[in-house]
Amino acid sequence: MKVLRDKKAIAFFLLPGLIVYSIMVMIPIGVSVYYSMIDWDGIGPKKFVGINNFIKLFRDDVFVRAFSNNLIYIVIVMSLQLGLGFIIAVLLTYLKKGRGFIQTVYYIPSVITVIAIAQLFTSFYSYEPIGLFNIFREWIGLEPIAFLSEYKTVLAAVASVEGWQYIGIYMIIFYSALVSVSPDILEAARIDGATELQLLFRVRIPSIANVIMLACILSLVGALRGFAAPMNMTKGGPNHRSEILATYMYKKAFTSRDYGYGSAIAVVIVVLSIIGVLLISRYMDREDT
Amino acid sequence: MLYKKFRGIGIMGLATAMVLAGCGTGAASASEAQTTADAAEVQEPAASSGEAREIHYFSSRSASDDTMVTLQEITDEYNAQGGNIKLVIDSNADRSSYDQKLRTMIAGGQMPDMFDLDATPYAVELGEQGMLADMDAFLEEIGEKDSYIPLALNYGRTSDGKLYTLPLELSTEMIWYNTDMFADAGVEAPKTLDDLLAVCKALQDKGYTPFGIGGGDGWPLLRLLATYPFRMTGNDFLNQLASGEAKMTDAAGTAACEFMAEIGSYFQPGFSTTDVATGLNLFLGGKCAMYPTGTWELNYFTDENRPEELNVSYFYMPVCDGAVTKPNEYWAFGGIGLAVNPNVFDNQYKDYLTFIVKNYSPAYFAHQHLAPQKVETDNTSMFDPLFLQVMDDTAKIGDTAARPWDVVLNEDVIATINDNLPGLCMGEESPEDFAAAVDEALEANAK
Amino acid sequence: MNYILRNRLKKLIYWFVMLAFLVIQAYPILWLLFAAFRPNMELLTEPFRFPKQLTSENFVTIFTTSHVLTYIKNSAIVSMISLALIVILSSMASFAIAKMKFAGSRKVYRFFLIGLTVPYSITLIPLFTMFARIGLVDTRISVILPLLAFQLPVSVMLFVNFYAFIPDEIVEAAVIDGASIYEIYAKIIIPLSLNTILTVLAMNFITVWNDYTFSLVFINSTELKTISIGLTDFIGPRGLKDWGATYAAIALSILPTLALYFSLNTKMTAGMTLGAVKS
Repeated sequence: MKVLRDKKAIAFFLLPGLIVYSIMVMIPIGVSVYYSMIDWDGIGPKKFVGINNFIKLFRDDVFVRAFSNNLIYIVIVMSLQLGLGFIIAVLLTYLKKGRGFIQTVYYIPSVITVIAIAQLFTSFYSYEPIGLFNIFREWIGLEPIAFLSEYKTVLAAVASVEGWQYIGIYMIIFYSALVSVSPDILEAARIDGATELQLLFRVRIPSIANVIMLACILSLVGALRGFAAPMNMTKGGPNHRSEILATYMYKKAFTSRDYGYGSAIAVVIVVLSIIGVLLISRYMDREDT
Repeated sequence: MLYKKFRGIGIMGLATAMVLAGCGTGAASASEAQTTADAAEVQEPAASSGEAREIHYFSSRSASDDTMVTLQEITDEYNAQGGNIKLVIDSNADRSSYDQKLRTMIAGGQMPDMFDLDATPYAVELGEQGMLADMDAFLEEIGEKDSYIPLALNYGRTSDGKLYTLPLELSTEMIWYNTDMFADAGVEAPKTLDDLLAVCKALQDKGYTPFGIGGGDGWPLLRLLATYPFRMTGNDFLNQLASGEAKMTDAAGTAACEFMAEIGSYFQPGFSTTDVATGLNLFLGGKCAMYPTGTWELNYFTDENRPEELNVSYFYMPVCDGAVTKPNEYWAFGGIGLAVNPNVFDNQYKDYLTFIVKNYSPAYFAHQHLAPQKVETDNTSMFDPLFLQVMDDTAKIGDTAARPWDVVLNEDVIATINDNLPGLCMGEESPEDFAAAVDEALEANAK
Repeated sequence: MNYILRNRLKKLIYWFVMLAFLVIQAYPILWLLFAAFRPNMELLTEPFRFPKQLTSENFVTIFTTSHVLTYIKNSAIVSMISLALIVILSSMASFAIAKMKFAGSRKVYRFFLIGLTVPYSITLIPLFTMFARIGLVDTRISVILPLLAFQLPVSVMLFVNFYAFIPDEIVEAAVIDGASIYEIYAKIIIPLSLNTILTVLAMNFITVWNDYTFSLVFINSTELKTISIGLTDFIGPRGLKDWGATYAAIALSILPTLALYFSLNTKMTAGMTLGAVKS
């Protein structure tokens, strides 16, 4: 098929996006990699320090904490978004009336600016004035907790907000995939006496495996880049108990004005996500063949 | 076939055209918005001719803040007297956003013509690079140095004694308290820091939340931390911390850490994520007995504006045994100052800034704020009694004003303190651990 | 009998879960909309009591002290242009990657995927320096370009995945019929991918509409500011925030979005699929 190898046409389709992307994303990343090897405070001369910033990273207790916090953060965010999103999507497929309305309501939190969501949940979690969650705790006879100040609860509290906000997106993604599974196959399996659970695991999930993988990437990437919820609610505190990589990077680069060190953290985030995406996409390639 | 091909190209062409049109309308409406806004904003008398000189001011105060309103008024006045300046204000009142943007602009080589800057180590570095106009020289030149209240002006001095900013306000900080709750607990306004802790204890025993504090915004906690060192050494300990001659584990630092560990137990639970607006409203709503703030919130406490059933009074920073600073010496400063980009500071700009210096304070004072320059008042009937009372206090203020730590210490050290202080207040971290963390940051940032 | 009872119980649990989730998702939003009409004081001291009084004072504040309508208009302009460009550029690039034959198409795809998780803020200084040099600072383009570029990876990923499910035979048949490659894209591929376009639009809209980072740093003029930056207008000295006014501005800014989503709800949500499904 010569038409499909037409170089001019390939350039016409590919280049506009590729050029914008290269200039706006890849060049700055390249510059960040360079910055990660210098010592620079944003004003004076730049001093080349090689991999010193990276060596410093692995000796930095806060970085190690941010790193492990980020892993927990990812687990919480992904299980809320993918787990709850999937369960609700499956339940939705059994709904006959009012689906459009319910779907839209489920989806709404995703479109609201995270600044508002963060403040909303700061008051939900609040101890004084008493927030919604503590009102519930009092109803069932528990002591109220300052969720966002307690070392034990703060990370989960912050991660749940980001997890919760985007459940709707994943719910809709899964739902759309689930309903496009051919009804004939499902009917045939039902006649064979399969229970609904068997249907789910033997027929529905395998046929939307591809969509599930994509959703995993989206959710993973969102959680790795997670920033706004912790930054707006706790600024990573108290004592770095809700610090994750992106918040720590931001603070180092812009609050502490250690631009090189901040860039080094950013490089780590990018490398981690490249590894994550490659692993998932390799897995998918294998599935395809 | 040929027809088909044409239609295909036609569709592509349409798509491209849409893109171009999209950009086009975007750009067009952008400039349109600009011009209409210009027309609305300029408000210049017909007398001034030609293009107005634009001065871009990046401000950390919201556009409705009285400092901004006053500057705008003075600019109008200046233009009415034949000047031709257009003050273009871009403001972002979210302080961390402001800092991020200012630093990015400066790192990217685009310093605004005028901007807000504290006398931080960042200002020192900018000054060393010759990137800030020297205000000592400027004020000397126009003969206006003596018009300023020294504590307001000197607040803007960097650690190496240079002055790069002009103050726009004069603020003091105090702690407000609920007089009914104090009476109920049988206590009075504390004179010493030990009294303060005793008062907190008495209030807590009576079931009140002693302190409502906006810990989420950082600075209220920093002020309390700085109390003991200021009483024990004036600003010496702070300056020595900055220069590396002192450590947090020294006597003044230890006293500070232990004080925070103790007083922290009297804050409302969850204080570390409470913003100052919530802290203020807890106090106004009668949910806590004390609330530390500054004169910029005076308006909320006047008889006119305060909730009816709420009775309040205030006290300034308590002293301690063997204090070297006097009770009339406490938090007082000129607020974040006005800095000027020296590369654009030509005669026209100088003339404009001179006009601002000569006219700012009376105009700002008229909005019921303490002004950074001496203002003559004969008619005080227009002012609220509370404002006059605070003005009276300020007139009697001592020579040494307490300097906020977040201005003097390196940003990374402040970030470390801000990160670790809530844990200390909650009793999760020991004073020793806290001091060690601060010392580590001090050492890492020593030059 | 037992069977019917069990069925009833199942139904009951089902509806309980569905409604509980509805409350969890809807309550915060309703609270937010109500908050816009509550006095600041009540909001900060008794946020979860049933509102005692409603007031329009917050809206008076936002209209007198801020330019919310301008901000919302700006957000709309930036979002529409960015979204149009995102869809056009990513669908074109994905078409080349997925359907055309050239060495390294897989590599180009991976190259795009790298951009998926770059934290925005670290690119600010390089981008700012670049924009300052070519005089783009304080224009809408300076916000649109990075938003576009940073949303390309996710959009390309969605499109490539969807195109993989369009059988190559369709394309080949069209080629044999003599259709040009441009015709194939415009008349076969695009009509087939309407659902994916909707998905891409819906997912990117959230990011683009709520962008804070780029608008903060690249826009200086009030006339060009977007709504997320405009929310900082209600912060007083030392962080003293007027939450009532902030909520009012937020409420105002989400109304158009809500109206859009509710009017399009079936189409929007039905179309949101990450590509076709193996069956």
